[in-house]
Formats: sequence, C-alpha cells, structure tokens
Amino acid sequence: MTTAVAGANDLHVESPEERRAARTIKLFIVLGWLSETTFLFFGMIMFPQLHPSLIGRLIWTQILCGIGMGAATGAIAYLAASGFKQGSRAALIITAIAGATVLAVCNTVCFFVDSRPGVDYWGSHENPALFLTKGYIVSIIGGLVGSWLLNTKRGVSVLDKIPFLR
Amino acid sequence: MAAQHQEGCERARQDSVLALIVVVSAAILRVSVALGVCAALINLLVWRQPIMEMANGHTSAFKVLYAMWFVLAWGVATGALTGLAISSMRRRSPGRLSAAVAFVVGLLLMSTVCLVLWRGFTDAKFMHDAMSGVRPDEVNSYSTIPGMDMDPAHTQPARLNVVGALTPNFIAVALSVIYAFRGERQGMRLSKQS
Repeated sequence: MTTAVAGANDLHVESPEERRAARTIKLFIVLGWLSETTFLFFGMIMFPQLHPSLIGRLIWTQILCGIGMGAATGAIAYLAASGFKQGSRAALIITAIAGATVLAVCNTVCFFVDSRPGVDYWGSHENPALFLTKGYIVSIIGGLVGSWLLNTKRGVSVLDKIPFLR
Repeated sequence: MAAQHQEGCERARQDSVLALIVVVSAAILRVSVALGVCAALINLLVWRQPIMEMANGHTSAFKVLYAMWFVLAWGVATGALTGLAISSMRRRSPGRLSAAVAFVVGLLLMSTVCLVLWRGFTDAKFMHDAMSGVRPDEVNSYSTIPGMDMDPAHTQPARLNVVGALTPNFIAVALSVIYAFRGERQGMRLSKQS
C-alpha cells in the first residue's frame, strides 16, 4: 500500500483506504442529489399540472432525499463493503448491491406514501408503472456507478479530479 | 544492512500507524451511525403514533419498510453526516477547537435533516407542498391527506415534539464527537508507544 506518512506520530495522512468512508458517503450524496434533481425536472416536464408550490418540494427533495438519503446510502454501502479491500471484486459487488438496495427501499416507500388519497408525487397516480420503473432503474444505475467509481482504477482517477470527492 | 533493517522497521511502523488511522476512521463512522440508529429507534418507540401515521392503512410488510425508511433517514443519514463532519475536522486537527467545530457542524447537519422530517410529520401544509400534486385551491382541508389532519377538532393524541425528538440525536452527536476525539488521543498514545 502506498502511503504518504511523514512521521510515525503523524495521524493526519491521507491514503485511499482512509478516505474510503468519507468518499463513499460524499459520492452517494452527489449521486442521490443528482437523481433527485433529475426527478424534479422530469416530474415538472412530464406532469406540469402537479406543481402547486416549488419551495416545499425543493426542501424535501434536495435536503431529505438528496443529501439525507444519499448519506444513508453511502454509509450503508461503506459499512457493507468495509470488510473487503477497496478495489476487490467483493467490494465492487457488495457496494453496488447495498447502494442499489437502499435507493430501491426509498423508492418503494416513496411510491406507497404517494399512492395514498390526497397525495400525488409527480405522477404516482397518473402513471404508477413509470414512477416505479424510473425509480428502480435509477437505483440500480446509482449503485453500479457508485461502486464502479469507488472500486476501479479508472473510477478512482475520475474521483481524484473532482475537488469535493478527492 | 543496518540501514536496510532501519528502513524496514520504519516502514513497518508507518504501516501500523496507517492501519490504526483506517481502523479509527471506520470506527468513527460505525459509532456515529450506531448512535444515530439508537436515537431513531428511541424516537420510533416514544413517538410511534405520529411517525407511523403515514403508514396507516397499509400492510404490515409496508409498515416494516416504512419503519426501516424512518430509521435510515432519521438515524443512518444523520449518523453518516455527523461521522463525515467529525472525520473531516479530525483530519485537520485533533485539538479541542476541532472537536467543538465538529460538534457544531454535526449538530447543524443533523438538525437540518431531522427538522425537514419533523416538519413533514407535523405540518400538513408543508407536506402538501412537498408531496401532493393537488393544487391548494382544490383542497378543502389538509385532512384529505391521511395522517396529516391539522384541524383542531381532530387533534392527534400525541404530536411529535421537536425538542423531545431531537434530544436523542443531540446526545448521539455529542457522544460521537467525544468518542472520535478521545480515540484520537488514545491513538496518538498508542503510536508513540509502538
């Protein structure tokens, strides 16, 4: 393992393994936020009649769903794969499965809550299949992309170029 | 020969320090998340009725899924954000000032996520704006959204209290910071001994 340890007592060095926990959480926050923002614009374009107020919707989707659930997904993905070496096949598979599963749970809960009378979240009543399908597809893509970025050489080199995820 | 031996010893010592750093970083996240989950479970036990209101009318399987979602959002998410704040401050400096900053930032992040959720559980107007596609002028009463009846005549017996609900998380953040920065000092002592 390549280290940049300046001295034996220097505990504030940065190695890929040390950065792993924070990086996993930050990456899934970014992915979750991107997904939610995409859903926001997708819903506004596909179901323009379902948008009475944007402030509450923005707070809910950006803070809770984007940052909050993204952080939760990252934490679960990290904790599930932390027993395996970063970059190993096991870490790659487990990170992808854990990330996708947490996002899929969010999508399922969101769908059932929104299916209730009086609640309609961008088309869960008008087109439930579209709501579920797009959510599950994005969950799987999110898990796979997150795992690829964290556990492959090319993925890590991409992350190294992004200041927030470096 | 002696130089090679010294270099080998130095490398072994550096590797052991690095292993310690990795273990401490992972442990901080684990402790933060575990404490966050404990806080969420306490809230779920104490405020079960207002929290589970949105799952009423659904199957038991959905109620379990909904409870899991609550624990994820209220516990795992806040624990992860707190762990992130602590880790990043700990990397900068192991001092008391860093601990204080980590505590404030962790508290801010935790409060932001929890307050959005709390608002969603208690404020029907907010929840309507966030999740309902029905225009406000088409709604006679927000009680059309089950579990979010704000009419005083239909007051819920238990209402999620913000101070009470945030207290376990507040304690979780404080304990996480104490653990992380106490662990740092222990780690430094250990590395000096090795």
